[in-house]
Amino acid sequence: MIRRFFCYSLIAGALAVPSAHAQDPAATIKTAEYALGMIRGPQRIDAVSTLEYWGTGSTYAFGQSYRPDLAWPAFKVTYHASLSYAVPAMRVDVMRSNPDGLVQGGGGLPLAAPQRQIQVVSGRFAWNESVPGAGFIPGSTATPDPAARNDRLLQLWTTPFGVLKMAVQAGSRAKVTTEGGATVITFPLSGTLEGITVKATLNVKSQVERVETRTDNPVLGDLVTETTYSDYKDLGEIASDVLFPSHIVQKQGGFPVLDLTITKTDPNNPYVVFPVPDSVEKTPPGPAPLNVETQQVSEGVWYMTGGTHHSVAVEFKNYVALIECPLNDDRAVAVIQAVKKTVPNKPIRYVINSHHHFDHSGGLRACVAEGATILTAAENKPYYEKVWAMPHTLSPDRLAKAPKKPVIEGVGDKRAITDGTRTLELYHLQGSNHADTMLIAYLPKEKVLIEADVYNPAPPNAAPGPVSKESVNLYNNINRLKLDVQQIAPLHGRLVTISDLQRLIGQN
Amino acid sequence: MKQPCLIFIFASAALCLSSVRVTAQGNQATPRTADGHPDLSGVWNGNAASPFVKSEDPLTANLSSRDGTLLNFERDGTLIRRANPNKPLYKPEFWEKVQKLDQNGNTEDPSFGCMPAGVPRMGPPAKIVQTPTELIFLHVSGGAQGWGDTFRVIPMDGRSHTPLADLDGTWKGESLGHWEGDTLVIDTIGFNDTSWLDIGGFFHSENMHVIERLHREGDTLTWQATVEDPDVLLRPWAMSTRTLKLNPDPKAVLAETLPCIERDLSHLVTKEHH
Repeated sequence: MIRRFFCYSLIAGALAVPSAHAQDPAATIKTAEYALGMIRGPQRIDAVSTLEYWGTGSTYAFGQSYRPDLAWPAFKVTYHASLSYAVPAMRVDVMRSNPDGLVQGGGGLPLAAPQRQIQVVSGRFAWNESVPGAGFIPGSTATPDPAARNDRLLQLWTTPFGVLKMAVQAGSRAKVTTEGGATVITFPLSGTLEGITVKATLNVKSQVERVETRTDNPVLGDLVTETTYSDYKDLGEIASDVLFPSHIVQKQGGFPVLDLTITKTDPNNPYVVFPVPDSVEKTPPGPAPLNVETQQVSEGVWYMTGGTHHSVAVEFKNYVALIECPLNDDRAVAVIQAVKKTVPNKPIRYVINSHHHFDHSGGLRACVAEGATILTAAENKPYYEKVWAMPHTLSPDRLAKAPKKPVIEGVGDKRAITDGTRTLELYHLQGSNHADTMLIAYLPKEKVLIEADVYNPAPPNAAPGPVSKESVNLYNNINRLKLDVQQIAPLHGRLVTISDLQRLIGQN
Repeated sequence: MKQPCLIFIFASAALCLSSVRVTAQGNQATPRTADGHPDLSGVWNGNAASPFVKSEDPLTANLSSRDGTLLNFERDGTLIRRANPNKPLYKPEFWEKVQKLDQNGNTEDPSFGCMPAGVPRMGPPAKIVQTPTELIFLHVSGGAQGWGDTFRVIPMDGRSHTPLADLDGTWKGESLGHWEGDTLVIDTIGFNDTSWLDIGGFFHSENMHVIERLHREGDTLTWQATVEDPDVLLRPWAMSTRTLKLNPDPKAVLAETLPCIERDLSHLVTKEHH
């Protein structure tokens, strides 16, 4: 008995909790770990290895606002995240539905029906599941998404526990400062997230209150992601004294991308697993190789496909007009090179931007660097002038490396480009709830219409999907403008005829 | 039926005493039987929770108490135990079942109701009696483990397994042993589907196949089990290796385990594990 109590005393002596006022990084991080209930046992180990949490709220379609000055459009969601810091891995299982009221903006809105999205990252691999464990269940689908790996790992490591684990791992590279009276831990990430610095602000209870990171974005440059965590509680059905925020708000570009009320947590659910399906393991890591396929639509008009977002090149006597420079610098450069190969010795004088959504405007900076004049909806001009002046230091693109003043021309209801031999007309698409800045392009001589997002033809033998109001609205605009369209070159999907659109919307 | 305080006392004693005793034993040559095989006979520390047993998983070596008091040791112990990264990988259609079993472990875990642990959860034996044709394993459960004293008789005569369809599923199954070099291999089939592989909701089917490997080096015995169950597992599960030390006392006896009587369940008001 005496020996036992002697032993207890030794243990108790070894377990003195670090001072909350300690300012050296290791002690500050340890204090924060204690504050969240992570540290257990006489050896003071970090005992939080896995975590599940459930919540409700909203996710938002980043870069898909209805107008460039508006917040990102919202989905209502039920949210379930499963994390393993040991693997590291994360599965986010979200059921999305339309928000209340008028739905405006992109990113898949409005949904025809509630939609389940399951996104997974596990070590070097990222994929999307049709059901949890897809790839191991007959009839299920696991779709590799290697380009999403780093974003998902960053989500994992910017959770409150993840931040502190990474701060510990950073060792002497973690620094502690005081800003506005609050303790701030700053440290660099490593591995595939090398180059990203995390800034974590603690509240008066030493809980992680705010996490800020900067990553590259093709449109916004050095993009600040700011996540705030508040109202920490033990929300476990089985009490653990592990505290997790009951409210999470994440912002990008100044607007929320996530706003969750957490209703339940389960620290160290022993059954959070992330087996990697064979199909995912065999997919090469990193983004898919760039591929631009060129298809002639009519003389001097080329449909440039090969990825998710297409472009159309129109040859004039002394120059080329390029409709859409999408996604990012790499895609834009590949398209520009394809244009130069297809139409040698003529500069790209104009680049027409269908609308301001980031997936359709992410390559415009490369076109500015190329010396092209950007034609876009008038409302986009001040927005692009503002965001393109923002720093691009994390991953400098062509424009950052060779700065050039953008030449942007705002388009109202109509703008025509002509050189006497060919005319390209641009029109504002009225009545769209996808984007208020939407332009469509029309070649009257060739009777070809070019549009983005409002009509995305499915593969020829695919079952017809639900009729989109945006497609009906496109057809109404074609009639309103009295355009004699025979072919449609969509910037998603495939080349079709006007009959295909009429058939889809029941107008044939 | 649980006596959680005993876990703490046992583990505390382990921290205080184990290193002294283990070191004192030193290394020995591996004794062999007349037929040339390693002699596994002896008392191997009484039970898997005893001071001499060490796991390769550092988490399980930690006594659970965050602040040196007894107030939170069960809660902390649960958290640490659940952090063990080595777990069987079930087919996705069973993930939810495992989680629910774990969440409701106080009522679902058969050992919490004084049922036997079964193979492989019962782990390595406390004492081995070895003859040329059979092995006798004696098991003594730890202070707070409710499954009680039990035994296994493992034929070593080269016989084949009874066809699975002819076996009545049992907690310990039908075990047959053979030597692979100096490693004793025990192959077991014929289980019921009632026992668990471990705490955490790790159930199995009647078609489970367990391969245990025991290897002696001097006064050290390692035990490792691999579970194959293609009905429910995506791939075989290799349980964490356990290392035991020979009790050097030639007069060492096995302590009798107190009878397991379930008294706690009706008093539990939360799902917190005990």
